[in-house]
Amino acid sequence: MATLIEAQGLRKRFGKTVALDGASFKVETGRIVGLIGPNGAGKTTALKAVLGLARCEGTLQVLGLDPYHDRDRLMERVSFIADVAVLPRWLRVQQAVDFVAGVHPRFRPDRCQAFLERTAIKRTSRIRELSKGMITQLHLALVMAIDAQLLVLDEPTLGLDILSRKRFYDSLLSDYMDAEKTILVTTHQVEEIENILTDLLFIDRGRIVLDLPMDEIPAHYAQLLAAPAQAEAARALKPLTERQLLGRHVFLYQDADPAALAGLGEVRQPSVADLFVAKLHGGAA
Amino acid sequence: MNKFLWLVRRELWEARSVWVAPAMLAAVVIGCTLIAAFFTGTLSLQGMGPESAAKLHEKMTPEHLDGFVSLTLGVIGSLFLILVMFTQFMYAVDALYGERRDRGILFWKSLPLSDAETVLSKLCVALVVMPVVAAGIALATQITFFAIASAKLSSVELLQGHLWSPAVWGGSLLTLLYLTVAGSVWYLPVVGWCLLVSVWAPRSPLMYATLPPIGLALAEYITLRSHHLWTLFLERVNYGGLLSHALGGHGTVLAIDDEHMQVPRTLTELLRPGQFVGSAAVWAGVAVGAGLIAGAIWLRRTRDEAA
Amino acid sequence: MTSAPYAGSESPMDANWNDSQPIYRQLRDRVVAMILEGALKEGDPLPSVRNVAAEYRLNPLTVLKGYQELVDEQLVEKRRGRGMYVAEGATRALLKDERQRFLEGEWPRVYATIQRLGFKAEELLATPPAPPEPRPSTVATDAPAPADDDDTTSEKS
Repeated sequence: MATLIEAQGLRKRFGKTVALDGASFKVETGRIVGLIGPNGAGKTTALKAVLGLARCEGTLQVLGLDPYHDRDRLMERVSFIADVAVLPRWLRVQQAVDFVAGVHPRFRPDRCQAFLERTAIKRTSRIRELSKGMITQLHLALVMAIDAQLLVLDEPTLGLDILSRKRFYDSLLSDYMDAEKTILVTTHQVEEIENILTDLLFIDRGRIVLDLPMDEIPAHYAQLLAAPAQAEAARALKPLTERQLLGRHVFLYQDADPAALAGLGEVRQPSVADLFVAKLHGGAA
Repeated sequence: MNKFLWLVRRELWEARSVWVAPAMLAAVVIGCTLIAAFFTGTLSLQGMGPESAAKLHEKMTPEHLDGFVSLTLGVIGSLFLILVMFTQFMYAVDALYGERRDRGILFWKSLPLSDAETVLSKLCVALVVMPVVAAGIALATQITFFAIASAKLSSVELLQGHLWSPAVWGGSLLTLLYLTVAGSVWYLPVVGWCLLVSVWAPRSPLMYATLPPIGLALAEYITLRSHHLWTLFLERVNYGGLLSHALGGHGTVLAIDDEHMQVPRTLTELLRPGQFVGSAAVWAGVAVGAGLIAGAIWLRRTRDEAA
Repeated sequence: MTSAPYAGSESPMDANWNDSQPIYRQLRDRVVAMILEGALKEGDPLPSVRNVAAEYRLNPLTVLKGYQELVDEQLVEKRRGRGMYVAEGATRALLKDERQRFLEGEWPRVYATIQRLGFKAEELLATPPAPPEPRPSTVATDAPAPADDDDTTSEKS
């Protein structure tokens, strides 16, 4: 299956608020897709739709299934972490591991064990006795031990210390290399993951405003550092955004002529963060 | 099936009311028995004074004795069945609310478990596991009670050999099992209603479960001056309601002079399975219960959990 | 500041990717630098894709692309089932390239300067210059370069 997720014209409303307004996107197998958007952009709603937790208008297929109607079947091959670690507080660590092992056909207890061994988590503790970081570690241990085809991560490293983060990304990349995994991740810490991503999805006000593989970014977007003398000429080329630094102006362009830019200063590839800001505040609707 | 068992096991991890409540009742009953037996003088048979006890000695036949043992067993068993109805209600009302309250629902929904499996596992705990555990503890309590009584009354010759009559105990056990099963069938709509409320209620599910029926009954009284709804609701949550449908008659009436007591010799005489199975009220309740449970499953699926 | 518990000693690659070139090219450049410095000799294995990807948090495909560039330039060879190794003659080939570039680019300028200032080549070669003062490292690996932070407008993603 080449296309793992296919969404067309997703629409969802909560009372008067429009969460999704005709969002369409595709996620291909084996890609690591970053879904980035401001708060209230519809990120969470889109993820919930993909996970069968919310019903939307429009068409949506995940792994060939309708997530809303076949959620329990879908969950055999998809694993996810929500942004707030929501393990039930009364559950004991050992009970959580045993339960998931008993109920999930693709859970690998040895992998979970390996993860947990590197933490300070005691098997007999109840979840409410653990610190927030430990809860996240446990949740990650459970989720990463599942042999899922699609991994959906909503702010997965929130609350983790540097070492835990490193371990998380290490095993994420390791998994990615060993098995055919597809990853959909949302995070506010864009810099942390931008080099891992293969594709970028920007969402704003319920719509997808950018859908681009990472290696196509240089072909369309460029950042220009110009001296004040060149600023006027730079503006004439219709940049998406302009910023002023000490002694320099930074412009971001979409589909501008590279030759025209080259003469005005230093041209470089914009970071994902810069691109994000440009598409949201400056980009054409 | 394996998944289902894990779900039931999870319920037992979370809800200790399954065995804690009956265990506590057992402790209370045995405690009282011990106090009555060893601290307040003679253990009087069914609370009768020493004079009557002497009279009994003269007039009591084996049948009378059997009757009293049956009655005692029945009373003890009933205490547990009443308790179970109460704990079933409390459990069901929180069953699908707890996962929303502690936000664990997103975790449960991330696993390959259908909403139907989840709701039905809680139904199973309420209507199968809880009553069976309570019945087991009831039986243990009954045995303990009579063990204490035997010890205490070992000097009373009349009673020897009659406290442990197989017919009486067999009848009691049969009745206990019968009422456990009948009780679950009878109570199904109530549990269904509680489960539905627990999926839906934004807060205080207990309030949402109890107030609307009361409100409806009140409305009926105010507008129509009748209390059909009230009677209906009351009968369902009432142990008496179960008994009136599941049991019948009073068995052989054993009179002892002017101490007129209606006691069956063995409790088996009271059982009316045919009547129960043939009752329209019973099946109407099952149908309504099934509908409410289906509603609970549907609601759990569609209710949007705000992240 | 990154702490040191990662396997092994300070890696010659640091995580200072700049924005002017795609990362896979920068990776290629660093491997080339390592070969020229002698940190990687001919026949040495390249660090595994897995390790590089994990260490610098890059997509493994990016690392592979960089390595593939080196294969295409015949500086690195793939050995079946064993991984990637610095090819025989890579150092020579690179030196040759560097020399060519020096001769075509820098040397004419240096020559012109020597001429202009009236130096004699033999004198210059007889007095090698003093080693340069060690300069403090410019940037910490985790923080973005200071220049980028001097925003007058604050725009947070």
